[in-house]
Amino acid sequence: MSHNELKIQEKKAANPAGETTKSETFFPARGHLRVEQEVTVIADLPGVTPEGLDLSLEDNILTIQGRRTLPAQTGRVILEEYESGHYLRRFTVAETIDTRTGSRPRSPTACCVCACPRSRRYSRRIEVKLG
Amino acid sequence: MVTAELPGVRVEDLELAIEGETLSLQGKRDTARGQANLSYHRREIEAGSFSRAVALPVKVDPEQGGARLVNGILTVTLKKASAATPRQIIVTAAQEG
Repeated sequence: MSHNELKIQEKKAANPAGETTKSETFFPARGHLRVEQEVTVIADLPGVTPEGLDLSLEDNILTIQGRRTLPAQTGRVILEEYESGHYLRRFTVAETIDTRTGSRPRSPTACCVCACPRSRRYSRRIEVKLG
Repeated sequence: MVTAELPGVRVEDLELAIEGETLSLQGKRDTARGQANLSYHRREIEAGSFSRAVALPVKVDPEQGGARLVNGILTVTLKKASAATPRQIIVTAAQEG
C-alpha cells in the first residue's frame, strides 16, 4: 500500500455553453503524461460507460464529455456525500501533437486515454473503444 | 445500499469489511502502474491509499450481501439482520367466555 493518503476531492461544477441539461455537470479531474513519443490524457469519469463517453478534437481543443445514466432511486437516501451528474472538460492540446492518430480507453474503470504522437493540427471525432 | 465513486481503483486493490454496524472500505489507486519512463506535464489525479469507515444505520447480516465495482462506481448491497427487520405481529382476539 502506498504511503500517500488520498484526500476527498470536491467536484467542480462546469458550465456547458449552449447546452441545457437538468443534471449537474462537473469537471472531471485529469492529468496528462508523456511516455516516449506519446502524450496520454487520463480523466476520472466514474459512472460513465464507453457508450456515454464522447471525445472530440477540433482546432487543437480536446473535449471530453461523459454522460452518465443515474440509477433509479429505489429507497430513501440516508446520507449523500457526493453529487452525481455528467462531465465536461475542454482544454487546448499543443500544436506539436499529431491529432490524426488514435485513442484508446484504459483500464476497466472509467478512465479515458487519448494517445497522440506529435505533428500538426487536425479536426476529428475520436472513437471510444473499451480497453 | 452504499455507493462510492472509485475511478481508477482495481477490484484487487479494494478491501471491504463489516464489523458490527460499520462498513470499512480500504484500497489504493496507482495511476502509473506498469509504466516506466513517464513524466507528468500536469497532474490533477492523485494516487495513493484511502480508507473509510461508514456507520450503518441498522445491523446487517455480514454473511449476506455483495459488492460490485462497475465503471468506477462501487455498489455494496447488504441485507438487514433479522433482528433489525421489522416484523409484523398478528394480534388475535381471545374469545370471551
